[in-house]
Amino acid sequence: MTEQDLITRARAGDETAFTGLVETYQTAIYNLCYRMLGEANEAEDAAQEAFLRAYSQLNRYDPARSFKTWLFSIASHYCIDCLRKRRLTWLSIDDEALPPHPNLREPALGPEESAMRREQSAVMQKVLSQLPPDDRSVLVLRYWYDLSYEEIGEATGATVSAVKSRLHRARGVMADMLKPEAARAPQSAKRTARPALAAEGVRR
Amino acid sequence: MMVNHKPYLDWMQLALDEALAPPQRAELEAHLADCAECAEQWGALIRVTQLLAAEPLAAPRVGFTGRFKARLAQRHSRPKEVWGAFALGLGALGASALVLPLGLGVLWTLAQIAGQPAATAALINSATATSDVLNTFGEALWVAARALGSFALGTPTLWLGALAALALTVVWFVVMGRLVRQGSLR
Repeated sequence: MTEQDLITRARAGDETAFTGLVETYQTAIYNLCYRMLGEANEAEDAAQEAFLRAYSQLNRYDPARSFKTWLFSIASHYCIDCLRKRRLTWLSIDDEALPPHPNLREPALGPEESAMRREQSAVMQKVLSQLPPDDRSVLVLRYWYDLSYEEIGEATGATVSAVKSRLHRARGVMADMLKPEAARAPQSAKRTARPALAAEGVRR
Repeated sequence: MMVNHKPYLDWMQLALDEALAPPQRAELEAHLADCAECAEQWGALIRVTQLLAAEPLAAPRVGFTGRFKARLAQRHSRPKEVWGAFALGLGALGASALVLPLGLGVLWTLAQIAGQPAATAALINSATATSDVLNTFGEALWVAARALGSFALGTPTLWLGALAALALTVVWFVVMGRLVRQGSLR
């Protein structure tokens, strides 16, 4: 059964068909929520809520649009709302170490490499958590899902120029935050002083 | 001469998105060869994109779909709660619909009586008589209580017995209350 068939049946009230869509997109939506919120349990709750909202708003979905982008739109808006509410209740998480995610989909690595990856992942998640929610969602959609500016605009409700501006700002802020870390890194791990432009466009 | 780095910083961002035109790419490359500050920024941006690209997808715990089904079922049961609240509200509205005409009726009757001097005088007389009866009844009760008090003070065994009976009653209520809470009495 195609995705469109599942959507059509789900719109007619077939919960099993919608469950099929949940099965397909669970990792994508969960990862978006995790990258936005930084905590596994909160990400689970947010992803579940995003699917529930999608199910209840299914009659508003325009089949001419990408279903995945529509789901991303619901999930990212929900996460941004969560982050705004959290900002009202939490004073600061700046110095809190975020726990590593228990279930990252990556190839089997040796113990040393695995430890390095975990550390890198924790740094990345901490840096992400310090970006403004709107900038964070743009960055996540760009790098984890390889969405174009237009698709990101569709998912976040922003114009293409706003998407570009948020992406550039987010990368700039992350680069500034990672500079001290790079300075602390062992000499062997440091890259050359001027990486070639051939390295540009490193994307998933 | 002061160099304006801003265009190069913008070009770096465009280069990362593979959106920089070849002539500007060449110009950026030449600038990076000479400017340590921009070269450092470029290195940091490359590091960011590499880290982002290397970051894997985080997957949910096994059974995500099953948990979703359970939540959906729970969500379906919510309308019943809404209907319950609606029924309660409707009941309150119904009760006030009964009470309101009654209150209005009383007010209307009082207004009618106030409009007739003879009826008003009769009502005042009736209220005065009722008040006199209540006063007399209260005085009788007061006399009886005083008599009972002086009798009890004269015979300590009586009020000691009364206190003991009161204490036993309290103990009985406490024990029964505990038994009911523990579910021993059903």
